[in-house]
Amino acid sequence: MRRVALVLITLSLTALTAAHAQSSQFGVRGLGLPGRASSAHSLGLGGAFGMFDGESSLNPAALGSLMQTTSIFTSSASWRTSWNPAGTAATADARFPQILVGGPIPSTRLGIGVSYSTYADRDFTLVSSGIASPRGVPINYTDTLSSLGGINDLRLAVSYVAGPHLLIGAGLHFLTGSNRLQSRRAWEDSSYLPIAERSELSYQGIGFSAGLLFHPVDGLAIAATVRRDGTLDIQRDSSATSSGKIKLPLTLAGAVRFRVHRGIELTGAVTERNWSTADAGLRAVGGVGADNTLELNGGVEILRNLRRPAQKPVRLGVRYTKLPFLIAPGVQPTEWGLSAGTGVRFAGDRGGVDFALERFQRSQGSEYRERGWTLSVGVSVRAGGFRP
Amino acid sequence: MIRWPAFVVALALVVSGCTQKLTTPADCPALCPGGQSAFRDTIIDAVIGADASYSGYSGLLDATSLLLSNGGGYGESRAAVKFLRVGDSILVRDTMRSYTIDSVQILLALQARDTTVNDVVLELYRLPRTIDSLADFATVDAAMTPANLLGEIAVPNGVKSGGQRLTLTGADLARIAFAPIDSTELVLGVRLRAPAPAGVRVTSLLGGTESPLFSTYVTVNIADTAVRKQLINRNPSQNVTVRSPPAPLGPGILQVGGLPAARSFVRFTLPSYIKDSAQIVRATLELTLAQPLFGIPGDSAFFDVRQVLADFGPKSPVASNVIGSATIKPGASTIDVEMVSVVATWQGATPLPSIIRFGIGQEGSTFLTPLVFSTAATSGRPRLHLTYRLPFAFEGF
Repeated sequence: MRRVALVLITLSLTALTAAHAQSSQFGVRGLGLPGRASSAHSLGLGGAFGMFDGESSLNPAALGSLMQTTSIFTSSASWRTSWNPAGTAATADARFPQILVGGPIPSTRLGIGVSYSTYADRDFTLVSSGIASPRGVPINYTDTLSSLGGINDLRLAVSYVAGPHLLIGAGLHFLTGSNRLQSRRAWEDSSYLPIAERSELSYQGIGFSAGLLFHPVDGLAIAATVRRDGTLDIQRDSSATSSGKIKLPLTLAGAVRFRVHRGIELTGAVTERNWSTADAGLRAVGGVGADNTLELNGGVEILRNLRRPAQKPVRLGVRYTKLPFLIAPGVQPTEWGLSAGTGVRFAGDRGGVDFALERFQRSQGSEYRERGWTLSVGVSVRAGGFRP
Repeated sequence: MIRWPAFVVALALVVSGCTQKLTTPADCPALCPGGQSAFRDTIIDAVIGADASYSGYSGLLDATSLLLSNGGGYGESRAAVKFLRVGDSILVRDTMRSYTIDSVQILLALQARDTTVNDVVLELYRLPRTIDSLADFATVDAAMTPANLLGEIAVPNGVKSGGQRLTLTGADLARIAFAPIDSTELVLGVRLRAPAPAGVRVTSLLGGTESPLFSTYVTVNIADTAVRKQLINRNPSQNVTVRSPPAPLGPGILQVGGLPAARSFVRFTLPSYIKDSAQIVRATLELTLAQPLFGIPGDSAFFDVRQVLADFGPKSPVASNVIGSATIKPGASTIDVEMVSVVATWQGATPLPSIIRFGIGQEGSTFLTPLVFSTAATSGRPRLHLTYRLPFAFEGF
């Protein structure tokens, strides 16, 4: 009882932690920096495990792998150094990228889950300075453009045990969110008033996903998913008329997990999104544009306790992805990441904490770069449940 | 068993709950969504025929300075100061006692002076008690006869400000002796004399600590020599400047200030795209003077622009807290007033009328009297210089 209470206290503290979006100069353009709807377990494996992970929101079929009703809260803190032609800055932020509650429906072959994930982050503050001559006299000024918010993905999903080796699932995605934007200018000449203008862009969209998880033989698992997001409707300041529409991509993903040795499992995943479908919509509202992305993930998990595989395993991962939204016309930005993670279970395996630490690097050409660390902590509670 | 995971969790929460720090230097417009702010500049002329001047606003008794001048660009100005009654007895040791006047001193303090003219003299006259704030220039000036002269104060050359005193003793005290009809009330007239046109500002009753002072040094009829010598000080009960009638204004002129003080009203019409959507960062009222501003060299005054709350002609109420102001000095041929806070009230859901009233901050207390071209003039009409930003393109992804 004392242990359960401790877990609840921990969860309460977690809920009080400030929730802020992932900030990056690569999240300034387009819809922002794409979020990762993955648990800390999966992030430690470079994201490769997400297609098999019922605690992630990538594959609705994976919900069927949850043997108990499970709640997962993932907190993420990030520290980075950014370079661009205007200078260098060290930034930091924290947020909850993945919250999920799911599990099996008693006496059925169904599993059900609801999750709240980050679809795209658009938190940033840009400061620039220059000289303007509004009345023919040069005056120094400082501009600040800031955005808080992003697009979130609320997924309702079900899974079904279609056979001894096959799980299938489907999910309905509600994309909602907003950017609270502010543009400020301060003049060096006090004859000119400093000004600030605020606006809020709100987003609405619906998507659908389907997936499968197949275990052809012992030690081998294959996962695949397809996700179709519709059109994102953008409204400015709750206006009745739409300020723009952006088509969202079709996502195709596949993954394989293979036990190479007792206690050692390799996982690999590939994901493609045709973000170029958003290109026209973004350009129509003044954006630079978008391009298709390809994401590759690989990871190895070394289990130190085969009877309790989630107890202090060693997880290593690597990933590479193209980012969809160009900062400036030219080459497409890319992201590399190396990660490591582990986890513990306690309170009779009802409670758990998973950790993932990732060293990442993003760049577009040689002008825009950033490097940093992301620490993800996933706190999970398994309150009990029933096998289907 | 439970302790170490709890520690790990707590540590992780502390680390992950760090304050965010988002600011990044920006390479704009490359990195800035929405591009860069677009600022524009435009000139808006006042609505033709919707401007006017009105005079007689502030009471003549409200001035903080008394004006003295002897012609030229200054015009003719005289001052009259009525002091509080002195009384024919004084309270000493709980008893009203008669006294004998030993001497009298009258103090006038200069606030500003035209130092280009030397040998300035202030002539002090004793005026009839009938002189009050309703008296005109001719009446006051006519009463300043040699028979009524109390004395003169020669202002030392180079002195710009400070107290100047006239002391009467001995036989001169007869000039200031009170008859019963006077009720011991002194009405002082002041005239400036100089070899060339000059102007002087003297502190008035409302001008501060150095207001005119009438001091009487007396010997009281009492045996105790320790309290026999007494001083009776009297401040003004009212004072007024009277000026020779100004020349009539020509067409196309708006007057500001002067005596009696004039104020002018001007109306503008903001284009709808500015009124609805623009953020105004600077608004300058640009006025052209019909003639260079004249006044005491080095002197200055505030030129105030106030927002009219409702249009009731000359009696339109104005906002007390929405004001634009500029300092004006002699020699100026234009007046520019920054008034962005005023123009800002013309925007929004409940805009105020785009009418302004401008006047002198020290009404009746300065020789500076701007004569501004009105909208009836062929050139130099009042205009508003606006710098503004159009709505930022927040949708620019």
